[in-house]
Formats: sequence, structure tokens, C-alpha cells
Amino acid sequence: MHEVDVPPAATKSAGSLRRVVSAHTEEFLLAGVIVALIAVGGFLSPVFLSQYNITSVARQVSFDVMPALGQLLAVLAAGIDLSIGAVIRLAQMVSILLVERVPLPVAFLLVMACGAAVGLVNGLLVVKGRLEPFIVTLGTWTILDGLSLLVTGGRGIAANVPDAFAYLGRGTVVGIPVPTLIAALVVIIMSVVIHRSSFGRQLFSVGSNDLAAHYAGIKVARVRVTVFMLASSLAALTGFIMAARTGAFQPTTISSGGAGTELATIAAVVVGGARLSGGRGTVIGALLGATLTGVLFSILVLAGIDPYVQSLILGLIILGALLLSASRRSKS
Amino acid sequence: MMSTAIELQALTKRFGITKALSDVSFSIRQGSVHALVGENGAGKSSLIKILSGVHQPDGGAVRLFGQDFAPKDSAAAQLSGVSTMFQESQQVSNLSVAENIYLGMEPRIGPFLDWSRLMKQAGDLLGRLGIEIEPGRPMATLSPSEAKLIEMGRAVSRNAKVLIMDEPTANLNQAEQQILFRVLKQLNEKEGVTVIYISHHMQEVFDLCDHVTVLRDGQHVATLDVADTETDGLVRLMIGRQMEAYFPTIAAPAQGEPRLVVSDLAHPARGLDGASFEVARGEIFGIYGLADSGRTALTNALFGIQTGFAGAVRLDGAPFAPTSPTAAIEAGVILVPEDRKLQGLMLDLDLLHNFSVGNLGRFVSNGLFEKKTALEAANTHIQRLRVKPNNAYALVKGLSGGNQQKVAIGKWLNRDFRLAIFQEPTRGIDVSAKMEVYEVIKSLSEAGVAILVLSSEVLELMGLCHRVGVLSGGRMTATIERADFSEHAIVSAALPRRRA
Ligand SMILES: Nc1ncnc2c1ncn2[C@@H]1O[C@H](COP(=O)(O)OP(=O)(O)OP(=O)(O)O)[C@@H](O)[C@H]1O
Ligand SMILES: [Mg+2]
Repeated sequence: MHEVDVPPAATKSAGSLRRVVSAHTEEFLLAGVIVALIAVGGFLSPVFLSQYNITSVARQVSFDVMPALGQLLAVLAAGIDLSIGAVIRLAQMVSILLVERVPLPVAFLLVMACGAAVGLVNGLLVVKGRLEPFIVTLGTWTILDGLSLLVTGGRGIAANVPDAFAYLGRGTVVGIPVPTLIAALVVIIMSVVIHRSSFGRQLFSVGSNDLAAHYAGIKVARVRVTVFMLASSLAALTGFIMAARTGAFQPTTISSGGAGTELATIAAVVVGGARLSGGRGTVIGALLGATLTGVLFSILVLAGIDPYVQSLILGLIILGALLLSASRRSKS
Repeated sequence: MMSTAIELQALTKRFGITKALSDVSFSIRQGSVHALVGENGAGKSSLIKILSGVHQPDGGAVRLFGQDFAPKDSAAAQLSGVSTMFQESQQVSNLSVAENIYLGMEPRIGPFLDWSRLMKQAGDLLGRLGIEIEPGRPMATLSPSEAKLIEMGRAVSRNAKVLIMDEPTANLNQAEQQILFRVLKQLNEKEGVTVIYISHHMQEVFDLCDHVTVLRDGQHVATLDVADTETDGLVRLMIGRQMEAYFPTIAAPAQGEPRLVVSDLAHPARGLDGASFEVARGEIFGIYGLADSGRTALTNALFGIQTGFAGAVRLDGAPFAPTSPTAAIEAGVILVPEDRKLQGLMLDLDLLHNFSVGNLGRFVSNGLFEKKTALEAANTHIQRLRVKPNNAYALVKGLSGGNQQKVAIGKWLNRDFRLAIFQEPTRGIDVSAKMEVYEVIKSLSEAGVAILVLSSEVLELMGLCHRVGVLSGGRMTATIERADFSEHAIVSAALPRRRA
């Protein structure tokens, strides 16, 4: 009465091969698009493929990838974190303020603590206050940006960054920018956390069906709070390294197009195949999504496209990716 | 001379590598009530989804009253006179009952909804069907069974010539089933509607239907006159082999200290009014109760879903008052919940994930999830429970109802527990899956687990349990030993008590 049984070994190899191919078609597609974009960039301007430009794009993309992984966590748990950009800016400011006053490791820990604290507040408001992540993080976004403006009085601040700190943002190892190495490490750690750890399993469970997860004994509230704390911590880490690179903080970025960051992270995860309603998404997808948007933007800059047009394009990318994922869903 | 309502010609439907239907051909006579039976995953829902325009066949054709019939969506099917009550509810919960009934064909004045006519039409329709539900009520406030009746109303409102019902009684109590049967008879006899009726209950097939088609593994096995068949023969056709005893033989439970002692458990607001009972190690204790008897509150108390109950619960002698499902599970209590899709499964994830989620700790070393061990465990459960498809990477949402239920149970088989609570363990699952579930329950009992089975099927409780307790008005009004089981004794004890 069962279907004809294929010998187990045959099912296994054929099945896993098919699985690998079908599970990763999107990733192959994204990688293809990225390569095509780079080719277009090289075609538009020979400068694009120069060593200098490649390094600087790689560094820039690293600053996109780390917060995108934070957004991925939030999205996997069926949430969203709109405060990521504001945490990055807060962390930049705090880093600049602290770095001349306290030893570097202390500054680092304080910045990370700020990030984790924001995440804790976000998480508790969502879990205990039973509020929508969208609303909560929209609130923290506004509050944190207000705080940054208040502290700096709206003026740019700068610091004499110690060499060790500057190295984190500007240094290279065998030609590879240090931020890129840090981002690579983060990608590895996050793919273990998301795809190989027990926490990752809980994350997917909560994102897929939180009631069933609760009934299976998973501590749903704790998973949610942890997700927000990790997301903000990744944002804080990004801000810390960005401060190391620039040695300054411009609160004006808040009023002019600073809002790009949170949307860019959402674009990255959606382009990378994650589903905003939770339970589906991969680190490799988010990595490719962030790389794609990052490369695209550096091409736009190179081509001298107006920054306002850039945010228009970002919005179109998000809508396009959402439409794509909606059509995929209706097909399956 | 009887004419043919629907004729299926070599209908084939594939989902990826699964062949849900292969070359299925048979006809349905006009004016008949035609049963469609088969095991979980036999292809029943797939077949009717083709008739209702949800799926398009990969091969073959359908003729409806002699015309070619290939609806491209469900609206097209309804226009041609084919209405369907799907197995899964299809409601818009933030709209009213009336809007749900007439969804997509509301009466309008120009561009505006004609609210008063909508209410009147819906009220008339429900009145005609004898369904006592206010048309203005928001759908979200209805119980699952009331919602089912509304779905029936919706199907009727489309002036169907063919009405398809996919497991309509799965969520209904006996009184509600009677309403449904009455409406069905009325439509069929008075209005000449042809009915296609899917059910796992053989009794319903014999009571309601005149013809029956058996599907097995996507193939047409037989189409018979109900008058020429009997249950055993039909079941044999469905499962393709001789059926052994339906219920497993239940050995007497080990004597000794009771595992679970519930004394005066109460929470008046939730309908529990001092329930007391004991369950021994290895005992299968059935609980029968009508909708407001307190059975849900009882489960919620024992599994830590709600807190704040008065009274005492002891588990192996120790006080037990779980504050969360996590706490209950850690104390050795598991729950197979009533609504598997909502409470029991992660539909978008695969079998491997769903099986491992009942005890992630078992598959973790150094914080890492050991996929290989989890895969082995999942494959063991897939074999043991005979889950189809036999593939740990299949997504649960593609499984048939019975196979989903096996997964909802299977996720707990990775851990040891002392008390297992089964809420409606065999709802919507086929005969052989039922037998497999009963076997699982029996083997748990033999391993010393105390088992609570909450079921609204009296015969199931009588076949499976050592004792049955009857809940009524939040109290155990009777506890009946196996030797004294009778349908009458159980059902009459469940009727609401008159207050002194
Ligand atoms: N949307 C889908 N995607 C993938 N596979 C599907 C889908 N729908 C059905 N199947 C597969 O097709 C087969 C037939 O399923 P179907 O739902 O028709 O069974 P059924 O006879 O209605 O079972 P049940 O009694 O459990 O409701 C099963 O193997 C099922 O897993
Ligand atoms: Mg079905």
C-alpha cells in the first residue's frame, strides 16, 4: 500500500542533490546578478574595477552585510527591526565620544552594551507590552535619532582616533579591508547560529508558528528578546567600525537620507529570499542580497546618479523583491 | 432514467514527484449522494479541488452534465453550479457571518453594499437551513463548528447543482452533525442537488450515501452501490488488506500509586467547577464532555497553558502546577493538541524540523543542532508511524490531514514522559491511521505512561480506554469502568446537570 519503494541509498543521493539544486537556485541567480552588475560597473567606468575601488566597495558592502544579518534574525522570527539604522548612528556617536576618553576595549564593550540594551527594550516591549515589532522599533528609531541630535546639538563631532581603533576601520590585511574580515567572521558565526544551532531551530519554529512553538515548550518570549538583542548588537558593532573608519559622526545624516539604512537591510533580506512573515530565509541569501544592493549603489554613485534617485531605486527594489516572493508563494 | 452529473475521464494530478491522482475515471449520477472514501493521502481532496477549480489536472478531463468542465478558479466552478465546503476553513474572520456567506456576490446598490438586504438574505437562508446563528455576528466569534455550518450556508447560497463536502463532520458535535445531515437531505431530496461526500466515518457513508467510490494511492479502486457493500469490505478496499481488530487489545493497567491525581480543580470563569479524578501508571483514561463541559480548561491547567486554578494536582505524588507548557513538558507532560495546524505543527517547515522540535535538547551537543541524529530519529518515526511521503525533507503543509496528525504525535516520541494528553487524537484521520494512533497510545500505556484521551467520539473512548470519566458542568459526573461501558451511560452522564 506504500508507494513503490526506491532503495534508500538512491533516494538519499538523488533527493539531496535535487534538494541542493532546488534550495539554492535563488542564490545562484543572485550571485549571477551580482557578477553581471560588476561587469556593468566595469563597462561604465574602468575605475570601477581598480584595486582601490574594489577595496572600498568591499568595505562599504561589509557595513551593509552586518546589519542585514540583524534584520534577517528579526524577520526570521516573524518580526522586523526598524531601529537598526538608528542604533548604528547611536553607536557611531558613542564611539566617537568615548574613544579618546576610555581604553579601546572599554569603549567597545560600552558601545555593544548600548546596542544590547536597545534590543532588550525593543524585545521587552514586543513581548511584555504585546506590541507590534513594527510600531515598537519605529518608536525606538525616532527616540534614538532624537537622542543623537540632542547630544551632538545637531553638529558634527570628530575625535582623534587612536591607531588601533583606526585600524579596525581603515586597515587591510593582505589587501583585504579589516571591516570585510570582521563581516566575514560575523557571517560565519551567524550562519552557525541560524542554521546549525539549537537557537536557530527555535528561531525558525517561532517564526513559522509561534503558538505551536509555545506548545512544543519553546520559550517564545526569550527567543524574541534574544533576536532583538542580537540584531541591535550587530548594528552597534557596525556603528563602532564605521566610526573607526570615519573618525567622525555627522548627525546631519539623520535628516538627509539616513533612513536609508533600515530600508537597505530590509531590501537585502527580502532580495535574499527571506519571507517577511517569518520562518523562511538564509544567511547566504541575506549576504548576497546585501552585496547586490551594496554593489548597485556603488555603481549608482560612480555613475553620478542623484542620491534622491538612489532611494527611489531602493524602494523599487524592495517592492520588486516582495512581488517576486508573493508570486513564488502563489505558485507553490 | 438517471443521467450523469459528473464524469471523470482518466484524471491525473501530480504535485512534484507525488502522484496525487492517476488515471481516475468514474461517474456520479445526478441526484445521488456519492461518497468518496480512502486513506489519508489517497487523493480525495485533490480530486475535489480539481472539480472546484482550485487545482487544474495534469491529464484527463471532466464532464459536468454532459459538457466539458475545466474551471480555471473556484469562482468559475461556482458559476457552473459546483460549490465546495473545503476540508480547511476558508473564512474571512474579520467580516460578519452574512458577508462570509455571500462573499464575492453581496447584494449591492450601485457600488455600495446593500447591508440590510444582505442581512435579510443571510437571515432567511440560515432560517431555511435551521441554523441559529445571527447573520450580523463577526465570524471571529464563532466556534469552529458554527463556522462549519456557515460554510455550508455559503455553499448552499450559490444555488449549487453539485455540492461537495470534504470531511464536513470533522469538527462537529452530534447535535451539529444532525443539523448538517438534515440540511444535506433537504438539499438532496427537495432541491435535487447532487452531493459528493468525503468522510472517514463509515457510518456516515452507510447512513447518508447511495454510491461510494474508493480511492487508494491516487488510483480508482471501485465505485459501488452502497446497498451492495458492508463496512469490512469497504475498509478492505480502502487499505488494500484485511483489517485486524480495530482497537488494540488493552491489557489491565498496572496497579499501584496513581500517577496523576486531580482534586477539586476549579476555575469557575473558565467552566471548571471542582473536577476530581485519578489516573494510574499505564492507564488510558478517557474524558468525554460536551462543548462547555470544562474539558478545554482541564487541558489548559494540566499543560500550563493557563494558570490560576484552585484545587490541587499531583504528578507521581509531587504537587504539579505548571506555569507554562515548557514547565509542563519538563515535568514530563505532553499534549497532542486539538487543532494540529494552529497548535501542533510548523506547516512551512519540513518533517525533520517538526519531529525534532518536541525535544530539541536531545539533538544538541555543544549548542549545535545535530542534524544527522535528528534525521535518523525523524526517519525512524516516519517508518514507525508510516508517514507519507516517506521523506524527512517534505514540508508538512503538503501532507494529508492524517499524516499531519502523525507528525503532531511523532514529535513527542523523542522524549520520555509520564503523562500524555491527547485531544481528539484521530480527528480527520483514516481507519488505518487511527489504528496506528491507537497502537501508539497502547504502547505508551504499556511503557507506564498515564494517558488522558479527550474525545468527542464515544465509540473511540469505549474501544480504547480502561476507564472513561464524564465531564459535565465542570465536574466529573461519572467515572465508568470498562466492564460497564455503554454509549448510553456515557452520553447521558454528559448532559448538562440541572442546578439544585
Ligand atoms: N499542495 C500540495 N503540495 C504537495 N503535495 C500535495 C498537495 N496537496 C496534496 N498533496 C499530496 O497529494 C496526495 C493526496 O493528498 P490529498 O489531500 O488529496 O489526500 P486526501 O485523500 O484528501 O487525504 P486526507 O484524508 O488526509 O484529507 C498526498 O500524498 C499529499 O501529500
Ligand atoms: Mg483531504
